[in-house]
Amino acid sequence: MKKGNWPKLIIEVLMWGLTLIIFLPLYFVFVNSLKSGMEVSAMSLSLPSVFHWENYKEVFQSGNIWMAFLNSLIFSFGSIIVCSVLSAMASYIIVRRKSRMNSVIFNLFLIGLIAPMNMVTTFQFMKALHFINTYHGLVLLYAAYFMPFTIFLYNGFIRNLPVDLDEAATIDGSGPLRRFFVVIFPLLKSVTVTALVINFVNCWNDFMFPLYFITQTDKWGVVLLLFQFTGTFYGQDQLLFASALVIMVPTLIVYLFGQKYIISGMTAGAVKG
Amino acid sequence: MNKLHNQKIIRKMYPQYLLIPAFVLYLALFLIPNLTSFFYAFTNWNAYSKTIKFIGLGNFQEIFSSSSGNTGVFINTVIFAVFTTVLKIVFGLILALLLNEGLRTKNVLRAIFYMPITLSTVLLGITFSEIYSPDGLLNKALSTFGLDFLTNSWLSNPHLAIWSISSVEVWRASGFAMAIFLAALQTIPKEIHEAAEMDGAGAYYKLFNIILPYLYQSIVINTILGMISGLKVFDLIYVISNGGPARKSEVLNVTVLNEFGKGNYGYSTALGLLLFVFVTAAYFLVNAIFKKFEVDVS
Repeated sequence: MKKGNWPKLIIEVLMWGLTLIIFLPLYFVFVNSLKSGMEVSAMSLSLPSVFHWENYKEVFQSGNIWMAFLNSLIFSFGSIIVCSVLSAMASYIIVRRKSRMNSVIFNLFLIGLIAPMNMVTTFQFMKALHFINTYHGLVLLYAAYFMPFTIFLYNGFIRNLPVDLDEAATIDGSGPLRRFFVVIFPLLKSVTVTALVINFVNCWNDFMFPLYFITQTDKWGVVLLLFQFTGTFYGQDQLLFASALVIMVPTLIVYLFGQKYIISGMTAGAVKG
Repeated sequence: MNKLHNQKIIRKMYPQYLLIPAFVLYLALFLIPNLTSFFYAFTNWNAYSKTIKFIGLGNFQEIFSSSSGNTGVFINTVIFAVFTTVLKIVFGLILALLLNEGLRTKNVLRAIFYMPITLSTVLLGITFSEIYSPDGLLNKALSTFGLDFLTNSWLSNPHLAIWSISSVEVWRASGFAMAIFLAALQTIPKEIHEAAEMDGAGAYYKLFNIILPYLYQSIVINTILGMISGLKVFDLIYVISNGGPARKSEVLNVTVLNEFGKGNYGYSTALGLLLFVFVTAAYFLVNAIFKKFEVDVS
């Protein structure tokens, strides 16, 4: 293979050089999270003269960071599980039971991929349902909000699932609900994992819903707490940076282990068009 | 097998009630609330009076009146959407084409470039506020390279703020565009590359006559996704500048929040409805434009 006059190795080195654009800002945050208050104000990329790991200890002692972590976990896990189970059931029926109504329903779901949420009227509905400042309220709202994309993912997958499997499952005489959870749902494992990791990252990082619908500080997740820290730690950037990195850890872990799922899931629908 | 019998089996095997929970939830918390905005946008609904009166286009007249100072908001929203969409596609395409040269570490590099979109926007807000600050990293770097004349107050300069924040979005999401292009590049049959090699086609010929036509669909997708998310933008702007200085970097979704906070619910709903109209219009417009220049590779 002749590749112009650009050997592969040079491109490879160039690309690794380009990753600096990604890493530098994060390195900057990390290095400065370990400095003393005096040193931080210089805003440099140099290593700290003394590594102040106790900045992290201070972050954990100040404020309700544990509470916020717990809240974020409740919101995230609650909504991704509700969303996946309901979306999988719905997709199964949309794909297998072709009818005019079901294709209308599917198209209504697809509208959600495009249409922005009207925050004011949504707030009014949340209020009328007594969902403001509740765990279940926000979990259900997230589940509804992630549904269009999740159903879209499941649809693409179930379409390629042989119908024989359904028929094999009917023979033992169990009801549809049981059949779905015992036979079908396990077959959707790979797409379920994809939906779970993508929605987890989106939910963990979301800022807009808690801003509108969670007004009690004891129900704040980590992202809202971090936003409040910009005021709390004003002039103490080392603590702000440390808390920002601590809050990033769960999504970073999920991304490290699930990046294949995330990238393939996000591009699957786009390429097939 | 007669058709009626078949229908019966299908009904039995795939009962409609499996679909109902998802649809009801989506209806109650997404569709219906958004649909009612078509009504409340035309009312004087607010926090200070008990009664809600129908006022026709009153809210929209006020939104577009020169005294409201909203003109800049619409311009900023469009700047953000168009600027980020174009640059994400340009950078994403360059990254994807380079990565597709059969590199050994392709998958690791792909994961690294994709990563920023999985970071919290609040973290990015904190990071880039520091980088852009007058004595921050960016100005320091410019001075180091002897480019002092280029240093600027990136976030407090009213002409620059929206562009500075848009650049953060480009940094954040170019890897996402790249991933979509990479997936599309993998659909190009090997034989085509080989045939081009045999004919001694140059790199430019291959790019413009083979690769880009195959990427057409993914360019459309990236444009649509970029415009939709760009018009809806909220977090980044709110966290970095909250629309400042003096509303010079404010976008629609930030105005929605501010007016909601003031208790002007009808007015804020009308702004939200405008956002809906813009997003839908952008979607159909992009589709129509790309349809006109469709390249068929199949």
